[in-house]
Formats: sequence, C-alpha cells, structure tokens
Amino acid sequence: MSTVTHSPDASRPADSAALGRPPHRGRRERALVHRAIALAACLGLGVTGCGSDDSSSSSSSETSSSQSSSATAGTGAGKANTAEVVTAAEAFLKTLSDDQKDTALYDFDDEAKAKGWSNFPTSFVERNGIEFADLDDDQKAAALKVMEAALSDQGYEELEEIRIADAYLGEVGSSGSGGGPGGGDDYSADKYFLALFGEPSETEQFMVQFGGHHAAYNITYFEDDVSLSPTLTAIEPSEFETGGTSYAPLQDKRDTTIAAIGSLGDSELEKAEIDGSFDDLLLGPGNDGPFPDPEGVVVGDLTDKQQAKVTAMIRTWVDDLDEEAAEALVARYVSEYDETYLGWSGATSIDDKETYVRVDGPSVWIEFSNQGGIVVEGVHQHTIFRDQTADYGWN
Amino acid sequence: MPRLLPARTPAARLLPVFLLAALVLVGGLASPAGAHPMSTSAVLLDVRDDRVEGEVQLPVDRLAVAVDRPLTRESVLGADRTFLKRYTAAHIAALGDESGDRPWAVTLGSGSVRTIDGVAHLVYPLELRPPDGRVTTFRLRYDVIVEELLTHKVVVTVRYDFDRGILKTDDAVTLGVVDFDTESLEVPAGEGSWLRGFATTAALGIEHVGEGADHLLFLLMLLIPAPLVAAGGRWRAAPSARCGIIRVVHVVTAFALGHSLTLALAAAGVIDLPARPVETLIALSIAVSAVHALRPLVARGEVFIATGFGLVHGLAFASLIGDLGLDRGSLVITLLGFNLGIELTQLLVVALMMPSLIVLARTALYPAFRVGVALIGLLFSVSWMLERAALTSSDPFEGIQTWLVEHPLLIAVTVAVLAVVAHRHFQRPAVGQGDRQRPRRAAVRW
Repeated sequence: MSTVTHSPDASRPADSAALGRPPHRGRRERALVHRAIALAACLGLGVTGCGSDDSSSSSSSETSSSQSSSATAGTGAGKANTAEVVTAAEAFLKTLSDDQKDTALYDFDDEAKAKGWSNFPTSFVERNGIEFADLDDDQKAAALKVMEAALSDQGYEELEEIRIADAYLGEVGSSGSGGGPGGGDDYSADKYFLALFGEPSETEQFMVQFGGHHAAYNITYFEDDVSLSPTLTAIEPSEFETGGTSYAPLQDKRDTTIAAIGSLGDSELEKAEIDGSFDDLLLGPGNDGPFPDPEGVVVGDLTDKQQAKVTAMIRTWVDDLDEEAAEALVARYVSEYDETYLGWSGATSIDDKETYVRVDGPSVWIEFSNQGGIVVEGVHQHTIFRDQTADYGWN
Repeated sequence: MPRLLPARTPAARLLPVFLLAALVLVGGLASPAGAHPMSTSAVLLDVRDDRVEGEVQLPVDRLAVAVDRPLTRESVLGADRTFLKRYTAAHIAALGDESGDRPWAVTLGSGSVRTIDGVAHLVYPLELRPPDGRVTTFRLRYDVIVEELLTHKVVVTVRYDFDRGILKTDDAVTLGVVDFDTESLEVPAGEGSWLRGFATTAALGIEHVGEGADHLLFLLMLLIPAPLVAAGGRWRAAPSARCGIIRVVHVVTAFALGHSLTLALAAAGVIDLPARPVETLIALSIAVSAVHALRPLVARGEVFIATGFGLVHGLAFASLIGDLGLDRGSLVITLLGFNLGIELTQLLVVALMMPSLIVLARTALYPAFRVGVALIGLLFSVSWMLERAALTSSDPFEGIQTWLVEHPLLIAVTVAVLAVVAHRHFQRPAVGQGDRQRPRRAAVRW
C-alpha cells in the first residue's frame, strides 16, 4: 500500500451484500477477490487519499487563521531541549541506510503528516515513517533514544507501557481462535513507526512523529519552542497484568481528569455540561478541526483548589514532554484560565462508557473520551492533546 | 482499586470480530475518521430523472444515544416506531439549486431492522421529490443522530446515477461524510449524459465476459473445432483457412444472436428464470461443446450449440443487468451498451486466438492440442455443474481458472508460439494428405 492513488470512489462493503446478487457461484470467488482488492484500495484511500476531501485540509487553514488573533502566533512557551533532540535524531538517522532514510524522512510540509497517525491498528491505517519491525536492535535503540530525549521520564515510561499494552492485546488476540483477519498479530510493541518531518535542526521547524496503535506523538520543534500537538494516548484495557507485572499506563490521566470534573459543585457541573453526546474524540485522528466554540465552565471562575485540580489534569498530558518545556507550557496554559473552559458530557465517572471531559482554552485542548470495551470488557479510553496555537507546529 | 484482569477467552473470541468490524469500517469510510470501529450511519441515493430514491441506515445503539431512549431491535419497530420515523424525517431535507426556496418532499418508507457490519440498523427507504418534478443538483441536509451525537459519522453514497455512469454494481461512489462540522452535502445530479451510461454498461459487458471464465471457456470450446470439418464422426483439417474463418464468423454471430435475444427478453421482464439453474445450464453448455470438440456431435454442431446456449448465456447476462437498478428509460441504452461490450470482448478473444488455431489446425499437433484443451474444458465444466447444482460445496479448479482468466495475453502468446513451432516442425505427415481429400468433400457441403 505504499503507492495509493487518490480517488473519491469508495465502496461500502456492506452494500454489496444488500444488493442481493444472485448466487453466481462460479463467479463468487472472483467477486471476493475483487472486493478484497477494492477493500485494500479503500484502506489505502482511507490512509492517504480521502482525508483531503473532508475537514482536515480545509480546516487547517481555518484553525490557523482563527489562532492568529488569540495568541502570539509563531511562538511557543520556550524552554525546549531542541539541541538534545536534534542530536538524538541525527544519531538515529546515521544508523539508517539511504533507503531507510528515505522512508523515515519527509518534507516538513508533507501532507502525509496529518494522515499517517491513528488509533486504528497499523494494518488498517498506514503510518508514516519507518517501522520498528524493520529496524535492527541498534537502530531501534537509537529510535527510542529520540523519544527518550523528547519525552520526560514519566512520558517515556508511559509510552513504553502503551507499547507493552499493545503487545498484550496481541497476545490476547493470538492466544484465542486466531482465525480473524490479521489476528493478534495486528498489535505489537514493534508495530511502531518513527518519521521525521523536516531535517532535525536547531533553527528550522521539524517534527518527530512517533506512533503505533494506541499512541501517536507529533512533536514539533522550532528553536527553543516545542509543541506536542496533536498527541493521542489511549488504552484498553485500562489495567492489565503481563509477565508478572501490573500496568495502568493512563492511570494518571484517568485520575486527574475525574478529580478535576469531580471537584465541581452541582451548579458548576450544570454549567459545565457540553451540548451533545460523544462516543469518541471530536478532534481525533483524521479530524483536525475546526475547534468548536468553547463550552463549559470558565476555569478562571473556579476556586483555587478547583483550579489546581484542572492544572493537575492538564499537567498529566503536558508532562509527557521533556520536563522544562512542560513546565513552561503548563504555566502558559494556566495563565489563560480566564478564557479556558472545562466541560463534560454523558457522565463524569471513570469507568462509565458515556464519560467525556474536555478542556478548551485559547491554547490548550484536551479531550478524554470513554467508549465501551472493544477487545475486552470494561471501557476503552481515547485521549487527545492539542495546542490550538501550534497544531502540527507553527505557521 | 481492584485489578481488572480481562477474561482472556471472550477477549480472544472478540478480537477477530473487532478487527473485521474495523476493516469494514475503514474500508467503507472515505476518511480514516480517526475512530475506533463503531456504528456509522449510511445514506444511499439512487438518482433518477424525476426523483431520488434511496435508503437511510441508522445504527440502533447510536440512535438510542441520540434520542436519549433505550432502544432495541424490537422497540424501534414497535413502541418507538412513530416517534423515530418523525424524528428521522425531521432531520432530513433537500433543496434544489433550481427549485428556489421550495424544499423537496422527503418521504420515509416503512422501517425495518437489518444487521449491517454486525450491528443492528434501523433502515428506512427514502424518497426525495423535487417540486418541479425534475432532479437537478441539490443540497442534502442531514443531521439524524449527528445533531446530538457529535462524534457520529454518516457516509453518503450515490448508488445509482445512470447519466453519471454510476450503476448499482459493487462500486457505489461515496459522496462524503456528514459529521458535526458538515451538516449538508451537495449531491450532483442531472449531470453527465446517456453516453456516460452507455459507455459504463459497455465497459460492464467487457468486464463481465473478460472476467467470466465460463463464458470464455464456452467460446474457446466452440472455436477449437471451427478450423476443422466433421467427416465420418471425426474431425478433419479444413481444406482452407478461409473456410475456418467463415465458420468462426458463423459461430460468433450465432452466439451473439442467441444471447441478445434472451438478454433483451429477460431485461424487459418477459422471462424471469432463477439464477442457479441458468448457471448450471451454462456449465452444461461448456461440457456439451467440449464433447463436441472431442468428437463432432452433429454437423455444424458448434453453430447450433452457439445459438442454443447463446440463449442461456443471455439469461445470465440479464441477471447482471437486473442488479443495476435501471430506469425503464435507460434500459435500451443499457442493453445496447452491454451487448456491445460483450461482442467487442468476444471479437477480441477471436482475434487473439483464431490465427493461432487456424495455423495449428493445419499441423500434426492439432489433434493432441484439441483433445487436451477439450478435456480440460470438460473437466472444468463438470466441476462447475456439480458445484452449481449444489452437489459439491466448492470448485477445486477455481484457483487455476482465476489465474487463467487473469492472464489472457499469456495464454494467447503461448498458443501463438505453439502454433509457430508446430508450423515449423510438425507439418502434417504424408498420410494426412489422404485426410485432406475427405474434408474437401465435406467442405463442399458448406
């Protein structure tokens, strides 16, 4: 699926069944082959093509125009460890062959940037960059060093645990009947990809894009500014045990979110309720905006104690980034509390599949969305972090 | 907090289901949509001259969230029926470019529940009628479910628009996705022309024959004995190449006449036969023509076989036309286009195979070639017959057939090379001279 042509055609496979073709049994196999090819093409389209038809392309311009009024456009909060990341990225590139480098490197403005990340299994939505499975141990270590440089200690640990969670889902899948399309092989700690948009540089913008199934980091550097927008982290199951160790990679995000929304009194809760229901992220992968009108309760109007809980919530997302830059960003988001909204919809308890919580400021955008468990019982959680002034970097 | 250890066995069982659902969803959506597999709404549109018909598919579990009521497969057709129909109709509107402010009439048919992608959907037939009775490009406003469930997606598909070359085959054209940010979509209509429809049906005819191993094999079985003449219950070389060509023309014309007749009758609804016996008969037609290629059944048998079974093949073509959901108005154009496609493909096959066969037929290699190919044809057709008559569950030769059909040029080139080699190294031995006398007499009968 490396070269996929763009076409607006995409069939909805369910409908072919609905058409009620007569039992052309001799031709059925062929039809299946065709359908499989069509499906494969559709997958490709889903990955590369059709995204440009919908909101993503048009909205990116809208968001950038709406941002210019709200913040000092083109600058972040500073304190980025850009030099360290550049060094790690260059060291990683040195381990690659020319062909591999071609796979890993993109132009900074390449449109693939917004499309090659997802929370679908990697076999369904093709990721940008070079796959861990194609790297030898040294190369893999060098790739992880890039992420270790970009992320904080706890952020890197969370990433490692999400990879373990994927491997766990893979085990769960392949230990069973296994006959499904792709089976448990679709999840693995090695089905992670690293791509660089733009040459790593201390003076020009470049992005480290790293992700697989349930984690996708888009970290853009520009001089001493850094943006981790958009970054997706998700989990199912929320807690699990493998190899004798228990994991709950998103526990901090779960706890602080519920604590923040739980700190609201009845009338505040009422004010904070967002119109509409949500069964997933509103601005998740493939949907980059526009950012909707803010809804909820103004964080600046809350008590210090409540604000502290909101800050703690924001911090669990921003903290994934290298420590100093994270502090600077949190300070900036806190300074915007008078225009920052905390909202919820559906429910506010941690394992209710209706629960949806959002923080929406001039800069910060966090969504926490529960849905029903997909592979195992319980809930399935998706979260997204964006910076409305620096989505995919600065323009 | 207690550790939530997932139950492994149900999980393992669910994973393939989830993967399948995801596959179907990603395949069906026009964008990655960035979501985990979950129920999506669909709107299917058939654009006709004076109205747009179609279908609305609403996943029951999402609908329940949107209307804030517990819904079940039973309740959507029972206690909640009136409410849901009113709710759905109130959230669909159409406004034409040329109809001014007068909205189109939106009518929902009786709802039913269907399982789509493993999820229960409430399905309404939909009809949109423009006030002036003429369908032109219009704007479809749609926010069923999405108005409340902001993360919901609605895939809008044009399933049929003859003038734009969209027929009710497997490949409908996805128009777009309605979501929280997109409340309406423009549906292009009244564009294109009958020529597009004509070209599309011609292409469909080409595809149908070009990919149909059974039709191709039937044709091949008829062509193999064409350069020969029957004499004394045996095949003999024809006296001249010209004679062979004339017979090929007869065969192809006879087949075309036969299938055109039944195709037209069936498409017009005069005859209507179930598909399975027709498919079985087609397999029989191949078997009969294969036997005929081995030993002549009747003089000029392949012309009779071509006519007779042409009628049967026409019925099979018609079943495909029946799936296209055609207007009466475009039926004639479709028939012409489809037939043109079929004939073009047949002529192409003849042009590819016949020169080689005619050369081969004049060499000593031909009897072995003819018998070999005929036996393969017989084997395939018997296997088809058994499968189509439901006597066997699968066709063991399906793989080979698919491969053969996918490599027509390779086959043509192989036969051509064989013909050249045979022409150089396997000239008919002297005893063959005696054979040539009798065919000449036989040829006189033509």
